[in-house]
Amino acid sequence: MADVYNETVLIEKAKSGDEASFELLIQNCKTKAYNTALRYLRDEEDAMDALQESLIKVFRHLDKFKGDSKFDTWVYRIVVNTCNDFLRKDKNQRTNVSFYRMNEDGETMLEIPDTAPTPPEVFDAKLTTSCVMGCLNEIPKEQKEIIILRDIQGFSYEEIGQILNCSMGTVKSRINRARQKLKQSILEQYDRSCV
Amino acid sequence: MDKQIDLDNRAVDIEKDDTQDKDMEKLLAILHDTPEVEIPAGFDQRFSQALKAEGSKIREEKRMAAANKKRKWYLKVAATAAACFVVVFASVSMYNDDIGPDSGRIASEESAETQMSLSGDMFNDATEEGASKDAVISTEGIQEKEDLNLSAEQATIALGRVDAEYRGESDGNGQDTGQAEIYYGMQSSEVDTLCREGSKYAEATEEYWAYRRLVDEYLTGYEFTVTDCQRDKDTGSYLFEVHIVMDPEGQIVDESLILRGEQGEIHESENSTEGDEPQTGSD
Repeated sequence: MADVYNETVLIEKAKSGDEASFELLIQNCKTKAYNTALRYLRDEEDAMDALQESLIKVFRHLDKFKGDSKFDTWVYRIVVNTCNDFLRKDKNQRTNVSFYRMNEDGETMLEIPDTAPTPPEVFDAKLTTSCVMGCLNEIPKEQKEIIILRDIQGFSYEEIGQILNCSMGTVKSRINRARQKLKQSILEQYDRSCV
Repeated sequence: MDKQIDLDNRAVDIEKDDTQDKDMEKLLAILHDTPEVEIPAGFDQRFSQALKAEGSKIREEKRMAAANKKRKWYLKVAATAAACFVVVFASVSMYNDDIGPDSGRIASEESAETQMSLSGDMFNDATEEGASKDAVISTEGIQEKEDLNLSAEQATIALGRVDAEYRGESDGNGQDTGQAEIYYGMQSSEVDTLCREGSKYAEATEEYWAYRRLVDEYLTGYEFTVTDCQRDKDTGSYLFEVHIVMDPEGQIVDESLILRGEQGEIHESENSTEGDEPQTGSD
């Protein structure tokens, strides 16, 4: 209760342009926000830039925060949006060779041959953190962000719904699909390395 | 046999699902165990600077917005005041110019008032005209009397009239002024002479002022000053010493004249200088 009171007081002070209050306000969510940005962008500099831009946006538009969600959740939402903007800009600059194609429904599909069930030991061998992170970068953006938020950062379904502005049912269906895609991506990575 | 095959297939599927579930669990475990990275050291300083710059910018914007708001408020008040002034001015102008909706009524009222005031004015004019006519007649009468050497009786009448005029003038402040001039005459600019009786100044009486008036009438047209006045205690006559500066034709005379006032008449004294003096009424 006291924290909520403090948070309200700090928000009010920060709204009037008090930087110190704002720094105190974001103290608890800053690291998590940075890690989220880092998982999205996979680059320390880009992550710092995105975080700084996000927090400045938060500071500037603090009067738009109505208290519908937790303040931290609102900050993460802005961080995610900023990271998506960064990725969009980055996409225009770089030419990525994707092995996804769009199906008739507009969904992105992996163009991989139907493979036989992978032996557990093979999967274990390839299942390292760096491999997973690499594969995570290969799956569609919507699926990647939901895995980052749920499985890496540990947000609840409700929080993810607020961050991504969608219902909890959508979050649950998306997370299952995203996990399957990630797994397939890891297997595909393995197949390519074998070839 | 077929049954056995089905059982084998089912066992394979279950094993397959189990494997997949296990793979997923491992995958999720790896994702959950991803270590949290600390924010690089330089970020805080960089962010603080950016935040301060943004803070000052926000404060500046808020100040500008407040100033604009204030200015808008003043403008609104000024505009309202100006509008009110214009409305009042226009209303007053319309009322004065009789172009309003009540112009007919106002005009009729005003015409009635005008008629009333006109009749009043006419009445006043008539009265004034009558009065002025009387004045002219009486003035002419005085001149005639002067020209025709007034008889004693006529002179008495003239003296009575002059007394009456004098009284009329002194009814208000005139009498007081006259008295004041008698006692403080030396300070007055209009009356420079007082009547002496022997070695003392005599009290100015109605008789004195009547003779003074006759002196003025006697020397009508001349520019003169009464330099001295003496009352003879025994005969009751007044001797006015007059210094004539200019004649009626505008020529400088610069001569003295002694006028005697007795029995309601004014005439030149035998002691007066001969020459370009005015003709006496009594001669």
